[in-house]
Amino acid sequence: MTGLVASIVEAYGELRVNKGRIMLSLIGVAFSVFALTATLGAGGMLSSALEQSVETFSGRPTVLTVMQSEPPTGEIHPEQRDEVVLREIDRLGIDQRTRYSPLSLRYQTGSGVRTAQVTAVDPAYADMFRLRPEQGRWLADSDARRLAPAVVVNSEMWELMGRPEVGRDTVTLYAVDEQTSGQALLVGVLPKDPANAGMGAMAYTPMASVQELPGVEDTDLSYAEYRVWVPPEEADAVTGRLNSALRETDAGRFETYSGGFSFEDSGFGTLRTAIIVIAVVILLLGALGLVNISLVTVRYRVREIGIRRSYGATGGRIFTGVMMESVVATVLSGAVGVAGAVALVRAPFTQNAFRDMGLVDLPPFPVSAVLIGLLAATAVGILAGALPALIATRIKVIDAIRS
Amino acid sequence: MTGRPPMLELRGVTRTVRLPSREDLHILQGVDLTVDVGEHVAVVGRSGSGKSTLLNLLGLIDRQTSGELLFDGRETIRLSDRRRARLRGSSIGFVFQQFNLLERRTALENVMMPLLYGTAGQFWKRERTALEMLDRVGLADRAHQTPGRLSGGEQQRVAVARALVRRPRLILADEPTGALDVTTGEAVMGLLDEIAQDSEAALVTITHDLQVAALSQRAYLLDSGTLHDVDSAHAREALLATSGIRAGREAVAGSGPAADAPGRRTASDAGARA
Ligand SMILES: Nc1ncnc2c1ncn2[C@@H]1O[C@H](COP(=O)(O)OP(=O)(O)OP(=O)(O)O)[C@@H](O)[C@H]1O
Ligand SMILES: [Mg+2]
Repeated sequence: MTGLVASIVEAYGELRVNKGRIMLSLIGVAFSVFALTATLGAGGMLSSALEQSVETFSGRPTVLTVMQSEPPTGEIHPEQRDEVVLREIDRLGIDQRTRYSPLSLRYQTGSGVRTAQVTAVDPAYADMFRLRPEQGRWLADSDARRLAPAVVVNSEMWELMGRPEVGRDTVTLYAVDEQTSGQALLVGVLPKDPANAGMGAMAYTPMASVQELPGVEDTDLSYAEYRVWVPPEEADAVTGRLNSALRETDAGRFETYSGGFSFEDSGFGTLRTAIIVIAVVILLLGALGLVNISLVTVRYRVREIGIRRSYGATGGRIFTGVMMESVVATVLSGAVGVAGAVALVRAPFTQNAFRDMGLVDLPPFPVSAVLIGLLAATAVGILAGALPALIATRIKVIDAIRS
Repeated sequence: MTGRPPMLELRGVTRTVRLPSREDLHILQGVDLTVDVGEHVAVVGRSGSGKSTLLNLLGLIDRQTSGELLFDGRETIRLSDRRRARLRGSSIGFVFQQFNLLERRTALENVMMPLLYGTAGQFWKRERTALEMLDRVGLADRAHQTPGRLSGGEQQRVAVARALVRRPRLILADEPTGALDVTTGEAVMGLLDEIAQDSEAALVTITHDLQVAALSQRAYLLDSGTLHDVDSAHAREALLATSGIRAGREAVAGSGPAADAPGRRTASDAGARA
């Protein structure tokens, strides 16, 4: 115990005396750890950001899609069909579910009338797909009772419409053939989303008031999709039950599959690996620089080590001492690197950059990145200290003190 | 004489090194020497005669090629490096010709250094012990100076304090006055002698200087790989041949009041003599 304390005291003394020489290599280590932690931290946050974007597009991981695979044998009204399917879904106790009906409508812009993709959904859709308006609000059950149907548009559509006032202005929508038109109330605008960039104008409207939209006929609603959001561990069971329950209904046949986008299978896993590989390479380069400088330092200190040995320092103590210097130094500079990385990633402009990427729920700086950064710094210290420490123990006292 | 073995005993010790030319150089060729607790022994010899080689053997820094080297009656050749280091730390103190202080460390840090390798008690009380030792060599007020700002004599006094801070039983000094002017050298030597005396440590001094040798109770000449008493005929001849000085104990004693009370003088006495 005293030996260890004495080693640390000794190492600290060495660092203090040689700070100029060691400082340079420490800047390298601090920078490497900074890079590693920042990459891992920002990478982690970016992954979350991309994950969120992807979920906006295709739903959270366990959002199941129920799709019509065979039409009914007889005639059936869309509302009756919905009733058949929703009854089965409700029977399983799933409350996060939405109808889903893609439509096309046209709307007025400053440079003429254009087409928008309008999706009729139930209010639960927003939670399932992580949509959060940046202005106004999302669709609510009460919107169905309005005279004019409510719409939530994406920011592109809002810009093209000439930025009407949210919650107050009505917008004119036209049927695709532009023969009929109707008013809709703009209740919310969604933020820019990289996953949907270039998709053009998009709008959401409540399924409950879809019939009020201009030119929407029952035939437009003859094709049906539903989305249900279930806990991950129940996804398979629910899929099986819905498949068997909806195999033969009055409304035709429906098939359920997990339409959620699996994050792990995607290219983002590869991106993460690439980021880690780059960070490790940076760190190893830092370690190499430190080994180099430590070796020079040990050669420079042959005499001093000889003197210490003649005064009773054992080989083990010399080894621990040199190793400890390296570890104490890298852990200190690693802490600086980690602090720098956290500061950078949490800096306002970085956070804004994340927001611009469509990150709605800003994730906290990943603790794992901090731990990995500090661990890496310690590992580099041990790695870089091992060789010089070994060389230091090999120094022959006689050669060292011969003047 | 009690049954207790002498602290240090050398019997027919040789040291041979292999030169790069693959020839063997027989530096020591059968050294017999006994050093007991509290004894002061001097070894003189011309440059290259193997004095440092001998001292390194005494200090357990090197291993003999043949012969026996006993510390407290125990053969040391088979002791592990670790045991040797511990024994060195606890029982032996070194003073070098070039002072060998740690650069850029204060006098205090230098004197504390051996205590880092000592017992837990020594470690925790290292600062107080070191300050006391610095006070003992008269450098209490220079404790926070680095060697670069100390004179040669002061540096060697710091080295003396460092050698003695763990209260060793054996002090080995390799030309401790070699890098100092005569007056300063004598002062330092007197101090070393005196402190060794006080702490009842044995002192083996290697020196070129017969005056310095005169301070000790016994003096030897190292010549052609063996030790000779300075009073011996061989030593007289060898010294006369190499340095042209009158050799022998009487000759040395004639230059100062050294002969009857060796090792009892204080630093000021030593200085006054010059
Ligand atoms: N490891 C070694 N390899 C080769 N030669 C050595 C070795 N050690 C000592 N010598 C040689 O042995 C001889 C004695 O060396 P040593 O250092 O003991 O002499 P010394 O009496 O201390 O001399 P000085 O008074 O100059 O310090 C020298 O000639 C030296 O070159
Ligand atoms: Mg020598």
